[in-house]
Amino acid sequence: MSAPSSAEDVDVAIVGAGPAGSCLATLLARAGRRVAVVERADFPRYHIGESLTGASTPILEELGVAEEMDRRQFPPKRGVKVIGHEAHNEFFVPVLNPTWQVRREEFDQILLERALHEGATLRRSVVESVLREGERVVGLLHRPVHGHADGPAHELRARFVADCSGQSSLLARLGVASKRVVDDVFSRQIALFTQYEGARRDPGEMGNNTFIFYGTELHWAWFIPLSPTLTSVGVVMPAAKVAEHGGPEAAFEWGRTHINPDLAKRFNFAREVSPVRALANYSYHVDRFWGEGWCCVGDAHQFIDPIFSFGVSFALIEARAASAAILDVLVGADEATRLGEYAALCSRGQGVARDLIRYFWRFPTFFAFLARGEYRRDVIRLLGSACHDPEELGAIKAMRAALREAGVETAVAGG
Amino acid sequence: MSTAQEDATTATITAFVNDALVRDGAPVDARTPLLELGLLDSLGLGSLLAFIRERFGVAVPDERVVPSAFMSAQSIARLVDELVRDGGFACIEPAPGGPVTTSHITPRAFALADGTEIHALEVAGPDPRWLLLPGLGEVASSWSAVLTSLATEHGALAIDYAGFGRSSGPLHTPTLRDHVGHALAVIEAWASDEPLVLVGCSAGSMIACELARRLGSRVRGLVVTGFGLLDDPESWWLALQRLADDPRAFLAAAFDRPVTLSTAALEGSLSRPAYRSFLGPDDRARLPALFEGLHVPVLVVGGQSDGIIPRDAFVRASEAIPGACLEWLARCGHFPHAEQADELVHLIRGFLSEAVA
Repeated sequence: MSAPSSAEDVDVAIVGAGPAGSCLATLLARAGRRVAVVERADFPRYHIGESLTGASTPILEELGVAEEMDRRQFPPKRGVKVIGHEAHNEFFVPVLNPTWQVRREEFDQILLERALHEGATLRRSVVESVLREGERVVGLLHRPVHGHADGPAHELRARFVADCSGQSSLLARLGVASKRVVDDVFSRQIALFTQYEGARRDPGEMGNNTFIFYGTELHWAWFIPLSPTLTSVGVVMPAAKVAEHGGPEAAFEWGRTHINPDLAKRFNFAREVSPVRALANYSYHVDRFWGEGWCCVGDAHQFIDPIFSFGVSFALIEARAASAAILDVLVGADEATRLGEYAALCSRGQGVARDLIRYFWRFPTFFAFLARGEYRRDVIRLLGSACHDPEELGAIKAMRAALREAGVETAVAGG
Repeated sequence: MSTAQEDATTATITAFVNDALVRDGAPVDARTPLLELGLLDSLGLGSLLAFIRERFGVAVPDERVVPSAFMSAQSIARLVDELVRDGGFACIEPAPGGPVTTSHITPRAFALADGTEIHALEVAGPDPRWLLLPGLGEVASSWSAVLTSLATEHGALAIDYAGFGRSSGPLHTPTLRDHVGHALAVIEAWASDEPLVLVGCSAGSMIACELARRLGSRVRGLVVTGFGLLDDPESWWLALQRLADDPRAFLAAAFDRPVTLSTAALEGSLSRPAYRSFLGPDDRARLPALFEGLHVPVLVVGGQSDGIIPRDAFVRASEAIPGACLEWLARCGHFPHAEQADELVHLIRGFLSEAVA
């Protein structure tokens, strides 16, 4: 192995410039820390995950990007509409705080620029391995995308390394974190998605909301406005069905026209403007996602069924919590204690989200009932992704009780 | 060990499920797994709960509406028998300090000077409180979903008009003017000085406009749904009377989604004298001026599939009122509070916060 071509020192090295990475970089740099972000992709780049929840709004305001989001005319999202089987029934849950639907190539760019503006630096590079001193992670070895393929890797020494690499799950893959565990309940689903110009929306502001179309169990579709004319449309189905329908294009077409009649009729004058993309929709988590000198944030350690658009919001919530913990650790706080607290918050949110989604799939009728009845306010909070709150809301208590009664294992409150 | 009582209840529930919920496919028996077969969707659950309320005189409290109790006709029957044994309606009284439940909707009665007793449903909550005025032939409980959706964040009262629902009294052929008088008297008793939001549907919108003119600035917002500025009130009224003779056609015109369960009830109310007497020739002649002189913030909400009020009429109403907002609801007919309650509440809240700002 050749010696690294160059070595540099920072306080925190962050892998990945998605929402988790850029949010974390912004908050750390703003606090005066030297931060390097390592990103392998050329920005702006396409990404799925276009809907935010109410819990993300205060964080985006804190980051200082809310005005820019309005300026870009990201559609204001005021709620989520769930349209039931055969469109016989529907319910609406308003967001906790007004938020947005985003075009991710622009949104991620805005967040990254904010981080750079605060003083973080960017390496266009692919991470190859971590540097260690004993058990402790002390940096990264990375290879610049535009450098020589056979040249030496660059060494980036850091007092702390944060894995914000999204579904790449870098540290889990490198064996630093534990291996990804695929959750049984939602495994083997595929999401197929594209964008349309001119798909028909509901009238007025309500048309800017997220629409979830329920077909049958594990078959659903999303319809998310991205601009005054552009709409993201995706269908989700068991992976086996994709082959049955003759591949992604045909399976998407089947889903668009068959999952729900109210979805099917929205395309009379619409034009598909991007290729159909496919993404495995496996929910997974990493049990051990922090250690000496490192932690994982966002999708790098957990991915949840995207039905309620929790992904970006969870990434931001976790990044903010991680930034507080890392800043404390850098000034001498006990690392295991602070990261343990961070991990507890992540697990709590993940557990609530997972049980909420399990209940939605298992008992859709009763989910709709809860969303209307005594627990309406709880359901509004939960769909606003307030899943990390220390208090176990009555609605989630009731859902967990029902799941356990049906023999489904649930997360432990507060765990 | 099942008792004769349990068997009878189970048979009644099974029969209802087969009549109302099994669309096509084999009939169910007492032990058929309803949830596993997807037989009990949200609408089905709603009609089942309504059936239990009517047939057995018990309301299933929200916290008992859980999957395990609805697995089969037999498990539902067990729940019903238990509720009946525990004293029927008495058991829906909310525990002090307990969670917000739909049973926070409490019945109210207002005895008025002319001998009329106005029945109403109330939820307690902060001001401005909302007065909910249904369409003619509708009852206060048609606002249940709105009352629930408010989740006690506003106080609200939905009323039964004289001649309808559980209201009673000497008037058999009340007119628009009578209903306005009754509503003013109810407001006096319910909220003598507090700020109000008036939400009307159809005939309730006519009453709400009149109230807004009389009550002035204490009205923080007026919400007009299921009504607009008609270009020819006489022919519209004539067509409506013809439609009222044929409840099936009325329902098809009024609702976006087919409604079956309330047909009988609606038939009863559409043929009442109070339905025919509501709008006399003078009132119809005044309809073109209905939206004049309103000095309060106004929101007009139109259902996109309203077959009773033409689309143009909503637009004209919003144009006739200076500063009025117009919003549309998809998959919604003549009665937004029944078909899109959550969205209606959301639109009204947004409108009120803008109006205050």
